[in-house]
Amino acid sequence: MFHLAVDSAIELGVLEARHDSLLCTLVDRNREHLRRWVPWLDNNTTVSDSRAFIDQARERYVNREGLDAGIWHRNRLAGLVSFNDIDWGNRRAGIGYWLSSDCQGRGIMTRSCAALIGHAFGKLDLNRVEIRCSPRNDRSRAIPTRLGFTHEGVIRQAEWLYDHFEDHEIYGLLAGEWPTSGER
Amino acid sequence: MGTEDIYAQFPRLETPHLLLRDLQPQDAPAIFRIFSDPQVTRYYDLDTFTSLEQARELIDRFRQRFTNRIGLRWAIAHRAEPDSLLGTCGFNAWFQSSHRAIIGYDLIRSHWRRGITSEALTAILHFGFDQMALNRVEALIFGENVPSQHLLEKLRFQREGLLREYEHLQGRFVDMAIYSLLHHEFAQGR
Repeated sequence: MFHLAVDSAIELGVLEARHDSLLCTLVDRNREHLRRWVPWLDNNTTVSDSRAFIDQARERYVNREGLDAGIWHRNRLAGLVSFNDIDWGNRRAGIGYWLSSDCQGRGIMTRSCAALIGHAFGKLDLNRVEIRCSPRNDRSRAIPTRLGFTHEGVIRQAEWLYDHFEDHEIYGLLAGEWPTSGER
Repeated sequence: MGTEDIYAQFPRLETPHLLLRDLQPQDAPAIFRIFSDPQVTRYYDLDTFTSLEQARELIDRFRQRFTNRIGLRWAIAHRAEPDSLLGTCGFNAWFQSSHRAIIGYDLIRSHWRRGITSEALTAILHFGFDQMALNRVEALIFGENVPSQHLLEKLRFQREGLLREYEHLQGRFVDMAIYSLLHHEFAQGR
């Protein structure tokens, strides 16, 4: 299973079944803060929902369809970072992420995304990575901006979020634009 | 009609000059004529056809989208000659829960620049927004395909961005322009 040491403080790893209650607690603690941005909260309320998510994530990883990695900051689960829908034909993947509110503002997500992008262009040999986020989500938008993505457009009414359609800003990064480890 | 019923029977649409009907196996020679023209396939996710078999396979693929409840592809015929075939158009993918669909279209070169695609797309847009309860219709167009982008702009689609190296087609990565038309914008223009 996927495991990646980002630096001395952060590790990424596909979650295991035994992490189900840990994940459930983390989602619960962040429910209100996440509700503004992600559509899946009402389908994730119990430990067995978290368990089902972890099972599916492991299956997706084995089938090379995607990658959902837990972000471990100093051995505590801080959030998730994912490749949604890896498109092998077009050699691209989208990155999605969320972080517990008490872990924000320390560069954890930026470093985690950078590590995952290195993995995408290195080991997975992808050509394009994209990030989509709400125009109102300044913290989320800061990540692709900081990592040198190009803002490519705004997908209008891209996603139904509980009671309204949300637009998506779209950011793209190509393999040739990503510095190799020596330059970074 | 509920949107679940759309897949019960393939919907026929009529416009002043055109009939939009389901594709049939006997359309293969006409499909071959369209797709054996490199000018048509230049901005298409298909290689230029060299055999009738490829036309049969494409018809099967288009028909399966309907059978498998993925989307709808209409044959574009002269209204007075239902068996004729000038091109095809449709919703390649219909995401019912998010009220969104992606359109695609093609037309034989001899009939380009006569407003045929525009007339056909207007009909399927009406059908999509009214009968399929769509909120957003999306199109991904080769960045270099300016005429197709003009067509969408004429239909009041808005350009949302240029997705760089978004698809790997015909041996290279190509930029795709993304366009969309929203239900309220379509309703306003009526």
